[in-house]
Amino acid sequence: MSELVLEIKNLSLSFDTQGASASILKNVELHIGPGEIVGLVGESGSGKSVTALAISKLLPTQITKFSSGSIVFNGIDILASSEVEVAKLRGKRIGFVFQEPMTALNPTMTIGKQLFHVIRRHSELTKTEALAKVRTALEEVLISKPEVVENQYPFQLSGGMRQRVVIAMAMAANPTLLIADEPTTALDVTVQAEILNLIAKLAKDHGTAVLLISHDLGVIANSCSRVTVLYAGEVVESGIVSEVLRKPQHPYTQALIKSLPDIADRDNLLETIAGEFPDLRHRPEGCIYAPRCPKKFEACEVRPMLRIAKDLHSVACWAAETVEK
Amino acid sequence: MTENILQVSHLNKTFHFKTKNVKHANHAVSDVSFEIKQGEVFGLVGESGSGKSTIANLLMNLESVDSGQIIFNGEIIAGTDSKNTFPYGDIQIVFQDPRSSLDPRMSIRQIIEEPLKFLSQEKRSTLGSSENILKLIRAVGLREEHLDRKPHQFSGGQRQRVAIARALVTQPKLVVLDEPTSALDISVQAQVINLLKSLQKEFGLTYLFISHNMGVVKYLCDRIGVLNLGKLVEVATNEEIFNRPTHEYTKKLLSSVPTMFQEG
Repeated sequence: MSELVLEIKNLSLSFDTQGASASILKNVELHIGPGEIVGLVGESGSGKSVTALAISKLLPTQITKFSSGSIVFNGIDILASSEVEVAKLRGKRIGFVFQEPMTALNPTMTIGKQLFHVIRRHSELTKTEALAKVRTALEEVLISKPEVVENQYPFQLSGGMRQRVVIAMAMAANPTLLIADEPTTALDVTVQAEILNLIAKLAKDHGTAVLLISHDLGVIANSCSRVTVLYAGEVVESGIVSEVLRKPQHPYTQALIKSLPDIADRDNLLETIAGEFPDLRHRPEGCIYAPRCPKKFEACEVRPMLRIAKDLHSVACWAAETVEK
Repeated sequence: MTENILQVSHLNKTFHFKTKNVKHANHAVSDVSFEIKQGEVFGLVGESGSGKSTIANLLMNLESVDSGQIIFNGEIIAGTDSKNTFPYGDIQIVFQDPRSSLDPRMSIRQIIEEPLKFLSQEKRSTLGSSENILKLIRAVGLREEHLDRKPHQFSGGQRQRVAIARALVTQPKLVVLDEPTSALDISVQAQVINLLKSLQKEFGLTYLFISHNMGVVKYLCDRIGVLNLGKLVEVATNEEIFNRPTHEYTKKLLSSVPTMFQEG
């Protein structure tokens, strides 16, 4: 497995401000191969977006302290690379799609012009070639009238169309990794389905590795091959989507799935997770989920490492093997 | 036979606007009719721009009706032949985002008591008694000491509990819930949904539940209306909508929802 596009190992980082320090990520492990779509799921504050930003070195340098681990992208050690070196990767080798397409686009510039700049910046194409590429880039994200859209401004497009444009920009330089941070959260469900299909198609056609960040387990289930579940900056479980979502091993993943109203019996109340999200300024010594966990026992005072429960399915829980057998 | 607490008939609302001197008309709500029975949870689902929130605003008297009628508790409260008297306190609303729907300068107690300002002196003193407020704050799962805090000291889920307490303080006959869990995390959403469900059972409340989340609607609502581009395309029981949808748009909406439990 030397041809991994992205490999994050044992990544820990904290935000240090005015004497206070909050541990944001702790021993995060993640890897993505070419053409693979890997989901990163978690609730707000779980560190999903921080992970995405860390990959591209976009975290505020003054306050971010990396305490352990490495991020290797295509053989390049990101944490050891200079800002200039990483800047060359952004947009070209690593593409981004963010949640809100309106804020990702320049409101004062036509779609065609924005796309043109992106293409010129990341390729050796001449002006005429780049203009032609604008057209094909829009066609590739299945925009039916590219000749009309390229002369329009972002506000003239619907949310779904704008997100297509953002994807076209992210894919314009044919990146090896596409980071999609909640790409469909701001969109309607019917549009969401189209955008997710589009991302899957592009990943397949170009062999692009995709990191799909979402809080929606349904989105993950339908789009990804593997998933990593984050809780308070720690990977609690990861593995093949069908395994993790159908036979979750970690009590947090189990509780999260049970708290969805989708399949709940209307006569009963939903299952909820007791307690509150931990204060990351004082990360507990033991298992991060123990204070809220119904299966807690003595062993949980020691922090469980991510262990392999079954083929490619790993879980950070002491109770995992004794339960659900 | 249970009575209709709310009857909406042939409701229309069009927004007019002008760009570059060209007039446009947006038919946000066109010819919408439905009724809600006492003690029922009625769901309105649809995508953005379908008119869900416009209907909520028309019900709350935040927008004026172009044509059609809204009959609440036997009285015409908006539209043709209405006396333009809004039944303050009898219809209450909970908005989507509790970060923006609670005044940051007010204490939780002030926020909860505010809707009482529109009621008669007599009602105000009974409903606003400290005993009542205490009962209410406990009913929504918060504690007495929370009453003197300000919104910024609470999490999103707790703030939504405050918004629910504010809606219930007047003992409303109808509560409009406009996407009350959309801004919340999954685990917090479950807590708020449980709260809404328990309160509904305990006090026999009537809800108009507006949402784009089919899972939540399926769990909470007895009957459901499906909106598409301002038109109500289908109204049916929960069971019918999810098992035997008749309208093409309802089918499309249901098939677009990514679920964890079907082969993708």
